[in-house]
Amino acid sequence: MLTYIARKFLAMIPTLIGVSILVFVIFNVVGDDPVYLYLGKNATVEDVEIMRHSMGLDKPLWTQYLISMKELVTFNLGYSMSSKEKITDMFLNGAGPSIALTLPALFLYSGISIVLGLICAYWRGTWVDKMIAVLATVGMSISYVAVMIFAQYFLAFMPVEKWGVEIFPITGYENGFPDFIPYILLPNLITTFVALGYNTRFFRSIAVEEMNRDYIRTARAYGADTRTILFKHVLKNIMIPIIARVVVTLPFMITGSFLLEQFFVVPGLGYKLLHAIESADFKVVRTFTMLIAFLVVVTNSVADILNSMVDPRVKLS
Amino acid sequence: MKKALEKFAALAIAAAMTMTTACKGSGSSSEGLKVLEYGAVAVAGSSDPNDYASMYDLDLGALVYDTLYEYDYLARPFKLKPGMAEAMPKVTHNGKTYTIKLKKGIEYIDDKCFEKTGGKGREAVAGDFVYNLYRKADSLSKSQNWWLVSGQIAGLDALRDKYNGKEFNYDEKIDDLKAVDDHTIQFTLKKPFPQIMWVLAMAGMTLYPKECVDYYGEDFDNHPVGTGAFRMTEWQKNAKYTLVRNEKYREDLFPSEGTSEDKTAGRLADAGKRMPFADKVIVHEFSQSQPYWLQFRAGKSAWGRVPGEFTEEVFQIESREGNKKTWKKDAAGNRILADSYAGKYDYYPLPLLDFIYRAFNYEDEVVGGEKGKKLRQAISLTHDLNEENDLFYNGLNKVYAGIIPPGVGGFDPAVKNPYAGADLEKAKALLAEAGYPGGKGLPELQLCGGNDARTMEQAANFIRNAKRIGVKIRYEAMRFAELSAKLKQKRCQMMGLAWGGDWPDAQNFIQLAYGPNKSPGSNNANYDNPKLNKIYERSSVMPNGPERNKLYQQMNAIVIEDSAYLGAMARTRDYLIPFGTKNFKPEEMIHTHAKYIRLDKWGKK
Repeated sequence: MLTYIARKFLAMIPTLIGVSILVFVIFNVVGDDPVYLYLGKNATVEDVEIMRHSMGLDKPLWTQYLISMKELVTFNLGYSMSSKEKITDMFLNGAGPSIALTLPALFLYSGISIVLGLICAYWRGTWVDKMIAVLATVGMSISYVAVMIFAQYFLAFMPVEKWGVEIFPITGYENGFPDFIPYILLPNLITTFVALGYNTRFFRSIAVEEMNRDYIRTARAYGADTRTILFKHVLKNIMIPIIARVVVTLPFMITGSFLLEQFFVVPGLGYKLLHAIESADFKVVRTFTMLIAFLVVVTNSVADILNSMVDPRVKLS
Repeated sequence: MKKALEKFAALAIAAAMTMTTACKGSGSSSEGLKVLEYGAVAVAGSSDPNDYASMYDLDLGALVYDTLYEYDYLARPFKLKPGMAEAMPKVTHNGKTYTIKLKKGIEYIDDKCFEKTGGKGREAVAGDFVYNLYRKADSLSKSQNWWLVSGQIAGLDALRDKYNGKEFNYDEKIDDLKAVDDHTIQFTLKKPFPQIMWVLAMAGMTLYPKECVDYYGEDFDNHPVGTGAFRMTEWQKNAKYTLVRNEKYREDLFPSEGTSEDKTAGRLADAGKRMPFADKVIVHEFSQSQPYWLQFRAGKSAWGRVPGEFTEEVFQIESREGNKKTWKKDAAGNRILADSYAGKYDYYPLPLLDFIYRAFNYEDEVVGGEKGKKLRQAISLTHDLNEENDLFYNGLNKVYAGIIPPGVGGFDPAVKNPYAGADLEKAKALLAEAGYPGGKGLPELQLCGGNDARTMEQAANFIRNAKRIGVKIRYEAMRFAELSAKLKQKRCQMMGLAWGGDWPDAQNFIQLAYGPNKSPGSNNANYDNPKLNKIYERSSVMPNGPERNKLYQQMNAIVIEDSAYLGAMARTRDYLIPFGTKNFKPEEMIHTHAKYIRLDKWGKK
């Protein structure tokens, strides 16, 4: 097992190097020139040259690449050009709000949709299945932005305006427990609502497939009850796709939801990344991209390892 | 059943706690401070006076850093009055030497960067002002504000050149900029520049302690150490900042004089009272207008700026004819608020000192120079700015001729632009005279501009108009960084831009057309007319007055005739002020509103 894990992690290195080269080319060769943006409307040619020099942009490309890699590996990332925050602090301060905004929702919608998926599969073709399928389709059809705007208006703003009661804060975020809790409730409900449709349909389809297997008929023949069939046999056997789906979502929990954070003015990583992109803050965007790539590669490897643990048929080779 | 009940009770308690916490955030008292909250429609990037790049940076900077001079809050036309300075400067040597006496006893906030005094803030002294300007001149400090003094103070330019790209010697003394003693600043300009007084009132020209910049290094940006009315206690970047009253703030009294409108609006009720009135200021920053507006309407903001998309909801419309909306107006000519707003808010329309324009690259072979003049005039004649105003700005912008916006000396409402469209027949005739009858022989032109939806729609409208006489234009939409780079490198044939005034003087707009300011300077159109340049040089050393305004008007006429610029428009910003907010007088040149505001009912946090 240890060899398997070690091999998995070694395999990450070339992938990450590949991503780093790609990111470097995108930002340093074909991307915007950050110097003009940083210096503003009254820059002179001299200012531009000095700035270019101080940012190391006048060095050969391969030198620039090696410097950027050294900065990444040593976590000596410097300061954001747009927000002037230390980039490491930016990540440390932003990860908490992002996770608070997405992780509870992940548990909530995953749990609910797995249960709904199993219910649909067991009572396949009945009115219960049809009703859930219709609701899931309706949920999938409404755009994320529309749900955000409606929820913010009707659940956060309207109660204050009409009745002077604040059910959810309209926007904002407070650091520290439990101050942050009121601010994450509505965004988590929105994410849950939006994700529920997709996930229910997905889990339903894999559960239905599983329900058609021979061993389910055998279990029924032996007199196994509904709960045992659903939660002991079916759920256990559909864990591989469930793990895969949940695990690939994890990196994006940390990097946050751009739209949600922007609409609810939560200083998470997604919102920070959005600002960095708008400001051509290439150091921040580069670091973000590498972080996402790293997390994706790591979580995929973790998913493989977990799969091998829940399903012995997945060979450690 | 018992377990279920227990679970329900636990949930109910948790929900109640949550609600309590939520409510605490909106009004219940814990510290008993007078809290002022308001929203900003964009985020502040920097609190370092070396790096202010937007009005949102200034909105923050001006509250934590005090300035030598400040705008008289109620006076219109604008007037300056001493802030940290004891009096208006003594100007000698034919308007070139400024001697400024500092008020004594103004201290910086306490901060750990004052290591020698164990964290106790020291007195602000004249040397701190010199340090500020030295730091702007230090090319390695990457100042975004060097332009404020660049080319003005002889010795300072020389010092910048001497240490260009090298480590700056902050101990080097120059005669043109010095601290005569701890409370006397003296600097000498290369030539008279009366507008320097407006510059001195900008937050970037404050005093700040060198030891704190040294202590925090690059992180100084996140640790403002000033003498302003407030000090910062929290900064959630891109989301909000929290300030509390600076107990060491100098004696600063609410103005006793104002306009007749101020008297009517009750803005003199606090005359002579010591400011600031708020103990704590929370500024919520937004990058989306919907949450900004909801937050305001929910009563969580002491004032609100009506986002364009909500204008129709806020004001009553009398009639609609195609794209043109006619707004219901009262006897004084002000638009009337919709019923749902009228019972809660006062309305204040603020005309901005704006120059929204399109320009032709004067160095371009096709559209530039004397050769391209008739082509430029023809294109100008195809475009109806009033139609653009109706289509994209609810008809609320002020369309004007030339480059001097309403609100500054030299603006003449009677001036008409003979090349303002739409007059397609005249445009076709001029196009033929330019050598391109019906557009034949004219290559496709390039127009550079922003990539936001509205800018692109406006460009589409402009392109459609030009096409009506056979001129084909291709729009290149780009992000600001790319646009900025292209403009600096003179790689745009035509451009759609906007300029917000830095100070209330036409010089700040006309300098955009001054030849020596060509790209990479602020003259992105690379317009260069020797006649205008000469007049500009004459006017730039003259004090404010009718004689100078006359020169401004002459330059405006030259620009109109050359049609290097197609425009212009100035926006009107609509402010809504809840009835409980007192003393708010909207003005975007002023960034210290928070210290003047008093609320009937303070938020308490």
